[in-house]
Amino acid sequence: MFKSDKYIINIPFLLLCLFTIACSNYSVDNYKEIDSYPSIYPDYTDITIPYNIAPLNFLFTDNIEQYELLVQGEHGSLKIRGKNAVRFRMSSFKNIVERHKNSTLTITVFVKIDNEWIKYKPFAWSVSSYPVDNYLTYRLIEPAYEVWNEIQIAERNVSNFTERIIAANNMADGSCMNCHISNKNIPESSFFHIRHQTGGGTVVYQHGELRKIDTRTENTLSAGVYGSWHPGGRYIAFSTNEIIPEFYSTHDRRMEVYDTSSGLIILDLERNEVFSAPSIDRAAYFETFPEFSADGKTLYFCVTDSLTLPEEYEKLKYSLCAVSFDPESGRIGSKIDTLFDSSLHNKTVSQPRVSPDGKYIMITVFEYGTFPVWHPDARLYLIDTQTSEILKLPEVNNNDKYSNSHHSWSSNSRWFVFASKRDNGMYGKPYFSFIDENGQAHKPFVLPQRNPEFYHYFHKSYNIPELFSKSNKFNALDVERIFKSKAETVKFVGKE
Amino acid sequence: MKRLLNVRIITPVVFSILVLFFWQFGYRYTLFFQEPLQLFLTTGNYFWETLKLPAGFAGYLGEFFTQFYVIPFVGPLIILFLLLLLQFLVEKIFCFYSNSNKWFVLSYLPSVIYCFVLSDEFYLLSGLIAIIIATALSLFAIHIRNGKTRAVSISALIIVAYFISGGAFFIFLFTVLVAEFIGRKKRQNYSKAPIVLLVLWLIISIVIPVLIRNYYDPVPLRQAFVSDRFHKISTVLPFPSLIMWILIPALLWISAFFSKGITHNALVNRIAQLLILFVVAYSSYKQFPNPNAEKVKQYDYYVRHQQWEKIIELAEKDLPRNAFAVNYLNLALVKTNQLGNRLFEFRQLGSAGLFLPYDREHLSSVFGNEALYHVGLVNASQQYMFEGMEAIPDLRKSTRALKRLTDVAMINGDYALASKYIDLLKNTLFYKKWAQNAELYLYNELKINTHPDWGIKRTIRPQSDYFFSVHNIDVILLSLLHDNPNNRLAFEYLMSYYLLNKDLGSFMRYVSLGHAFDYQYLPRSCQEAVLYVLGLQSREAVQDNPYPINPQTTQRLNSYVNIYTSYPDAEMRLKNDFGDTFWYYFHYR
Repeated sequence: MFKSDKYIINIPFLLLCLFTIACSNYSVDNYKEIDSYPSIYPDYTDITIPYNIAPLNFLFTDNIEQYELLVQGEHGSLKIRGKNAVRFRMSSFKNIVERHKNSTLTITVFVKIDNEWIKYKPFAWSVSSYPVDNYLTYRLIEPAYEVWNEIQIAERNVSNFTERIIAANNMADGSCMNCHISNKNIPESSFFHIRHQTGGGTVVYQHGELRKIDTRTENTLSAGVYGSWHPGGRYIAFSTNEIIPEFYSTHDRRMEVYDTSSGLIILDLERNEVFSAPSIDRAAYFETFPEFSADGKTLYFCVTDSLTLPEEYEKLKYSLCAVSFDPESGRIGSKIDTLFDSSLHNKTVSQPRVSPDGKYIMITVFEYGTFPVWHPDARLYLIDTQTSEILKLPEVNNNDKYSNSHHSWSSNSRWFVFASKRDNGMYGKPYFSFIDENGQAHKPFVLPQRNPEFYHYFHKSYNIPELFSKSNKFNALDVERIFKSKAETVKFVGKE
Repeated sequence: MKRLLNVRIITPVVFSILVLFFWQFGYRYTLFFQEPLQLFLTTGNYFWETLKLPAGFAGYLGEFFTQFYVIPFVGPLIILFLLLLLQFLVEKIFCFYSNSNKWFVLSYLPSVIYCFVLSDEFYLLSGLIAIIIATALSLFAIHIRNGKTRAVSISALIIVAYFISGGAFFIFLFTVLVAEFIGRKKRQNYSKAPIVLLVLWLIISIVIPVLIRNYYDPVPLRQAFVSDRFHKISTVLPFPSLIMWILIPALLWISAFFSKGITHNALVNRIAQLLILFVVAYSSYKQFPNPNAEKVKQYDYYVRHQQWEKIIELAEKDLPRNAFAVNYLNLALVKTNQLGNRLFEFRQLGSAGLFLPYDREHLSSVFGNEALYHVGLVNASQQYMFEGMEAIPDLRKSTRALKRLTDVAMINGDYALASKYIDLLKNTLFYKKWAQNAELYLYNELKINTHPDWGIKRTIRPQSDYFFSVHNIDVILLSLLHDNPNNRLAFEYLMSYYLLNKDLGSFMRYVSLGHAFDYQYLPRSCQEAVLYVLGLQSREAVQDNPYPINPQTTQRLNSYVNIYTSYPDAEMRLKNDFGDTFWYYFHYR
C-alpha cells in the first residue's frame, strides 16, 4: 500500500520533469540572433499579467514562413510552433501561467523568414498573483458621430474567451444604451441608461432584481447621465447635463462634446427621491462626473466656471473638487475642496474613479473640455488620496497619440482597465494595467482574443469597459422585459 | 405535343427576356446601388461568423451573388438564374401530385412576384435564396418514400431549414404538413405520419427560434422567426416574403385537388393561368418598383464614377425634381465649370440643392458626402459617410463607405486608420485591386501629395479649424476660400449659395474673390446678379462696372428690364427667353 502511494505521487512529478526537459530545448539550432523584439500584434512584450488572464494570442506582423515560440519559467516551459498566428491551447497556457504567480516567464521567439531562422530578443511576462476581476463589461458601438445603429452591452469573461450580450438595443426599439457602471463593494450590482422617449430610464440591477427608474423631474436639468454608486448601495450620484456635439473641420480632430449646462443630483434608491445641494449644483458653474469615495463619506466631482459656448470651448477647464457626504442623513457638505486645480495645471480633468481601497483617484487629463474620448491628448493620471500627489503614469500613457479614458478599477485595486484609441485613433479597445504596492503602473496590454486577427476585422469600439468580480445576473431578454415595463418615477426633494 | 413543346419553350424564353429587359433597361441602377452597400469578405472568418446565425447561409450566398452586381448585366443574369431556379422547384412541387404541364404556367407565379419585389432596394437577394433553399429542402423531404426515414429527416430538416434559411423554413414546415395531410390520399405508397409527429414538428418550429433567441442570439421575437435576411429593416415585416412562405405550400395543396388544372380545357386552363400571372405581375409592378428612386440611383451611379457630363445630359432630358438629384446635378455642373453659367437653367431647391442637410438617415448622408468631399471639406465628408454607413438599415458595412473613409484617412495622414480599412477591402473580390494600390501610398507623404485626387484634396481642405455645420455652409465656404483662394469649387458654390438665397449683399461683398480664377467673364449667373445690383444704382454704374462682364449680358439685362417694366404679364413673357436667368429667379421664384 505504501509502495503504491509513493508510485502515484511520483508519476506527476516524473511527467512534469519529462515535460520540462522535452520543452526546454529549441528545435531550431541554426539561427541568426537579433537584438530587438519581434514585431507582434497585439504588443505583449514585457508586460505584467494577472494569472487568471485568457491566453495572450498574437500575430507576427512581418511576413514570416514559420515560427517557434518557447515560454520558459522556473516551474516549466511551453513550446509551440506555427505559421503566423500564435494561439495557445487554453489548458497549456493556464497551466504555465498559474504555476508562475509572482514569477516571470520568458518568451523566446524564432521566426523563419526567407528560409532563414531568426532568434529575437526574448521578452517577459511578469505574472502577478493578484487576479484581475473575471468579468469585463463594455458597450460595443460604432465610433460614429451622432448616429447609432446596433448597440450592445456585452460581458466578457477575461479568463477565457466567452462573451455574452447582456443588453441589446435591437430588443429595445433601437434606443441608445450607455454607462454600465458597477458598485465594487456590492458585486453583481450595476446600472446603465436606456435613452428612449417612452421606454427609457436608468436600469438598476440590485438584490437580484432589475428596476427601471426615470430620474427626470421638473426641477432637474435632465435625466441622470454620468453616475457613481455609493459603496453602501443606497445612493447613486448623477450629473445632469445638456450635452452638445460639435464637429471639427481640420484633420487632427474629430468632434467635441461639451455641456452648455450641468449639475449634480443624488438618487436615493430606497425612497425614489433625488436631491442636490448648493455646493454641487451652482448656477455659475458646470458640475459633472460625480464619484463617491471608497468609504462613501466624500463626493468628488469635476467643475468649471460656466462659459459662453461654443465660442469659449477651448477655455473649458474642469477642476477636481470634493464635498463631504453623510450617508445616514444624505446631507451634502457645503465646503468645497480642490484636489486638481485646472488653473494650476492648465489642463482639464474628467472621469474620476476611486480605487476600491480608497488609496487613489484615477482621472483623465487633457487640454480642455469635458469629454476626453476624441481628445488625442487625453491621458490617465493618479491622485494619491493621502498625499494629494499627482502621478502621471508614463508607463500607461505610453502612446504618442489618441485618447486613454473610461477607466475602471478591479475590486482588489491592483488592476484597472481603460479604453484607448491608441491603435488608430478611431476604434477604442480595452487595455489592462497593473498597479504595484508603490503606485507604479505597468505597461498596459489589450484584452486578448481567441483569434489574434480579431481587432483587424472588428469595426466597433469597446466603450466604457467596467470590471466586475461576479457575473451580471441578467441578460438581454431581461432588459427587453424591463424596457417594455413602466419606469418608476422619482420625486425631487430639494436642495438642502 | 407540338403545342406542349411550344409552351415549355416559349414561356421560359419570354419570361427570361422580360426579366432581363426589366432589370437591364428598367432597374439596373438599383442593382449598382445595392452592391456597394455591403462588405462581403472572402475570409474564412467571415464565412463562419455569417453562418453561425440563423439564415446566415442564405445571407452569405445573397451577399456573395450581390457583389457581382458591380459588373454590368451580371446582376440581371443572376436574378434571372435564381428566378428560373425557383420556378423549376415550384414546378416540381406541382409535379408531386399531378402532371406538371397542367400547372406549368402558374409555376412562374412566385418568380414573377419576387422579380418585382427585388426592385424595392430594401428586399434582399438573400430572401429569394432562402426561399429557394427552403423549397428545395421541402421537395427533398416530401419525396422520401419511407415513412420512418421521412419522419426523422423532417424533424431534423426543420432545424436545418430554420438555421440556413431563417423565416423561409415556414415553406418547409407548411409544405411537409400539406404533403403529410393529403399525401396519403393522393399518392400511392405514401405512408401516413402519425398526428403526434405533425404536432411535434409544429412544436419544434415554434421552440427552436425561441430557444435560439433566448440562449444564443438575442433578437426580438419577431426577428427570431423571420430573420433579417429578407428585408433590410429587421423591424419591418417582409410581407411579400410572408406571402411566399404560404403561397408555395398552397400551390402544392392546389395541385393536389385540381390535378387537371383550373379547367379541363387545356387552352382555357393555360389562358386562365396566364391571366392570373398577368394580374399578379401587374399589381406587383405597381407595388414595388419606384422609377423616381431609380432615377436618383442613376445620378448616384454617375457621381460615383465621376461621369459628370452624363449627369448633365440626364438632367437636360428630364429635369431633376428632388433634392438628391438636384444636389448631384449641381455637383456635376461645378465639376465641369458650368455651375455659375447654368445654375438657373435647372429647377433649384435652395441651399439643400448645393449641400444636403444632415438627416440622421442613410441616403442624405451617403449622397451628401459627395459634394462635401469634392469641395474639400473632407472631415465633413467623413462624418457624413461614417454616419451613412452606420445608418445602413441592415447594419452591414459598405465598400463604398470604406473607400471614401480610406480616401479621407489618406488625405488626413491617418495611416493606421487607412490601413484598417484597406485590410478589409483587400479581402473583397472587386475592391482588392483598389485597396492594394492604396496600400502603396501608406506613410508616403510625397506619393500622396502627387495623387490625382488625394493630392488636390490636401491643398484645398480646411487649414483653420471651426465647428462644421451645414447650416453655416456660407461661412465655411468663405473659410475654405480664405485658406485656399484658388478653390474654384468653393467660390462657385458660395456664389450659388448667395444667389439661391437672394442674398445680394453678401454676394456683392465676395464676388470679387472670383478674380483669382482668370475668368474671361464671370460665370453668367454672377454677371446677371452683379448687373442687377448695379442697375438698381444707376445706368452709369452698369456701364462703368469693373467686373469681367460679357456685353451680351448687359444687352440681355436691358431687354429683360424693358419687358419687366412694361407688361403686367411679364412673368409669362420672360419665361421663354429669360427663364434661365438670375433675374427671373430673383423676381419669380
